[in-house]
Amino acid sequence: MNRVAEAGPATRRHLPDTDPPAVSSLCAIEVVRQERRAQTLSMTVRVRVDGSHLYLRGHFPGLPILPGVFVVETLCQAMAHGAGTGTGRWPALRSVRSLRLQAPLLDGDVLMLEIAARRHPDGGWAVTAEGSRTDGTTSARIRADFDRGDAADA
Amino acid sequence: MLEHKDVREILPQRYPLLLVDRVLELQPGRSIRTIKAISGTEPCFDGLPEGAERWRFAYPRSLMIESFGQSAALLWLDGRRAPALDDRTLMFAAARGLQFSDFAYPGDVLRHEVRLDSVVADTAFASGETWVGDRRVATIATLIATRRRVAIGPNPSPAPAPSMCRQSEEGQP
Repeated sequence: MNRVAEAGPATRRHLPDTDPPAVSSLCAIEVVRQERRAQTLSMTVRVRVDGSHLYLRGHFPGLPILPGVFVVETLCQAMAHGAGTGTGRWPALRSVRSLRLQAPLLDGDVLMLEIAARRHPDGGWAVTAEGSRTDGTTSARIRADFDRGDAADA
Repeated sequence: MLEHKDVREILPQRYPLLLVDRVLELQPGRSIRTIKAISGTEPCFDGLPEGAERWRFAYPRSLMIESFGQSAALLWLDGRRAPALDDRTLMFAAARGLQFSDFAYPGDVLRHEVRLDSVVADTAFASGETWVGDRRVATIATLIATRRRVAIGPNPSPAPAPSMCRQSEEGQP
């Protein structure tokens, strides 16, 4: 089961050993806010862009920019955290209906991703997310679908 | 066919985010077929606990998109080095209609089949599929890449750490 630790009055920080393991070295999220109900999930997560991060050293050498797909990765990690059941596979990205990357995130920037998810009749999730940069600029918009996550294929 | 050394000369990404190993076929302005082998030693699998279930080794779909996008960039560039772009950088701008139908795991080889649908000024539109053998694992209706100006922030990245291989080579007499 995912564990979180209180890191402040309204902040819950992902513990390193509980990050989604298969993606832990891509970008680690910090959960700022989470509200889950039977049919909905609302979350805010934060990612600080660290130019010394292994993946950013390759994207690009001398000019670290958060890869646009890492915004998608941030959403995947958030859904693993917020919609995972704690047993079996976490919800997996099933489709990206639309993704718009509107402003780059550079070394030192912070991505705040506001996520709203609603259950599909099949148990999966329809998700919308909007990312903003430290200066308030909208950096990304995503509409995606996740599966229910407990139908492990292995 | 372009080998990995050719891919390195064309794309600006570097380890561990250079995610095309080889170009199998390139029809300039039309289509490209590339491969990317997934290894269990890639950093994205770092930190998995002993005895981790198989599903935890599923290759991140975010990286699968990136690998497809880099293949599209190779197609857009016609397999040639990008021209000097002043302060512009080739960027992933948008996507529509990405469907994932199966997972890929270490040992699998992703094969991207990408079509260049149109190029308008500094923006390219591509589509295609990603396969593992005869299993289609992803379908991409539209992927949009562009060249953007990027302001360099105040905190430049430190130089990449040398790889273990390079250290070994340098240590040899």
